[in-house]
Parts: sequence; C-alpha cells; structure tokens
Amino acid sequence: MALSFRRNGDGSFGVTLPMHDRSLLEALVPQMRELIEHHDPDTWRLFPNPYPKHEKAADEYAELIGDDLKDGHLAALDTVIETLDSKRLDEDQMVSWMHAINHLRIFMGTRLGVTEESDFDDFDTDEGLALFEMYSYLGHVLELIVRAVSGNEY
Amino acid sequence: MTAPVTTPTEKVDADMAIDPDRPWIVLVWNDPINLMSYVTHVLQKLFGYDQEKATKLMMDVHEKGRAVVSNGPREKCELDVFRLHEHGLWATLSQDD
Repeated sequence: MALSFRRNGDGSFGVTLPMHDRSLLEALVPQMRELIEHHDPDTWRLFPNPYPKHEKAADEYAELIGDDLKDGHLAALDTVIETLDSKRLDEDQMVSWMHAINHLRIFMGTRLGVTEESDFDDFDTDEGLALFEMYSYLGHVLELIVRAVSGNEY
Repeated sequence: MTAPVTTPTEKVDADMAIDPDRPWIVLVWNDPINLMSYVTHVLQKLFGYDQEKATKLMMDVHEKGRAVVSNGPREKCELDVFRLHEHGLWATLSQDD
C-alpha cells in the first residue's frame, strides 16, 4: 500500500503509512525533539526573532512567550510518536503531523543550507546526500498532508 | 533560545523608536524551505483568506521576498506572528511607514 492521507466524511483522516515511512519517522522525530530541547543552532528558523529592529521589544516578546513556542513544537512531535500506528487521526492530530514534518524539513534544510535551486548534485558527501534525500522525501510527504488537510487543488 | 547580551548603550543605538500611534504590520519573509502549497494553506487557515488571496500573498513572498499578511494593534500582530511561528513561517512585525 502506498503512503496516503485522506479526509473522511466525519472530518477525521485516514492514514496509510508503509513500514519504510513509519521507520523513518520513528527514527527522525525523537532526534528532532532532542535537537529542539538542546537548542541546536540549526533549529533557529523554528524560533525567528519577531522584532529584528527592536531589541528591547524582542526581549519583552521572548519573556512574554516563554517556552510556549518550544512546547508547541515538541507537542507536535510527541503526537506523531504517539499516533504512529493509528490508521485514523482526528484533525488536531493530522495538523500535528503536518507541523512535525515541516519542523524536520526546516531543520534539515537549514543544516544543509538549501536554496530554491538545490539539487542532488550540490551535495558531495554521503551524509549530505542522505540528508537531502530525506529532506526531499519529507517534502513529498508534507505535500500529501497539505492536500488532504486544505482540500486545495493544485 | 537566549537573547543576545548587550550593554544598555548598544541597545539604545540598535533600537528604532516605537511610536504608539502608528499601526503595526505582520510580514512573512521568503525562505527556500517552506512549500508553496503549505504557505498558502497556512495563510488561509490563520487569516481566513480564500485560496486566491492566500495564493497571491504566497506568490508575493516568493517573488518579492516578503508580503504583509495582516495588520492591526500590536498585541494582535504579536499573536499573529506567534501563530505563524508555530507553523514554521518566517514572520516579523513592524510599524507601517
């Protein structure tokens, strides 16, 4: 069975997750959790500065939100781990999957320094190639989820 | 995330004045990672835009490097930015010129 996400009539989502995809997420999601917990420098894009020109306002904002953004990112990752074997997800769980997979892409893309033109030829180490392959594949997974959640046609 | 350590003098130099009477805008910046379909969906979901308007804003981000996606009082704009950050978009807020 191929990977698929589809909206059911009752607003829930049906998920078909082949073993390969399940193993990939089972390996990557806990690593992503660790990277966020330990403030890995390549997770900075998940925590943008909302006030690049106002240092004082940026400090006040950071104090105001505290760990809320970090906790939200971690909660989305936790939901994926908890529901890896579910054939049916409610809308909140499906949205958590969408966020978690996007967090993974943002981290990988940042670490690789991707541009809009990046291609397999740009990476000449085994590690870089493997990471770019996962990044590209997760883009495909995310595209399927966005289509199911948004109902938009492209 | 820790805020950079600066001396008070540097802070004054780096800060632009905030005028309480000027409205605020929320900007989304282009990045090479987020999918176009994803950005369109997030703008529809968070701001209630139809697919046409959200697609136009997404294309502005993509082609012009940034787009104003919402505006209003500072507190509302901060909340909008927070929700955009939850979705992994690169958002900032500033005062309209």
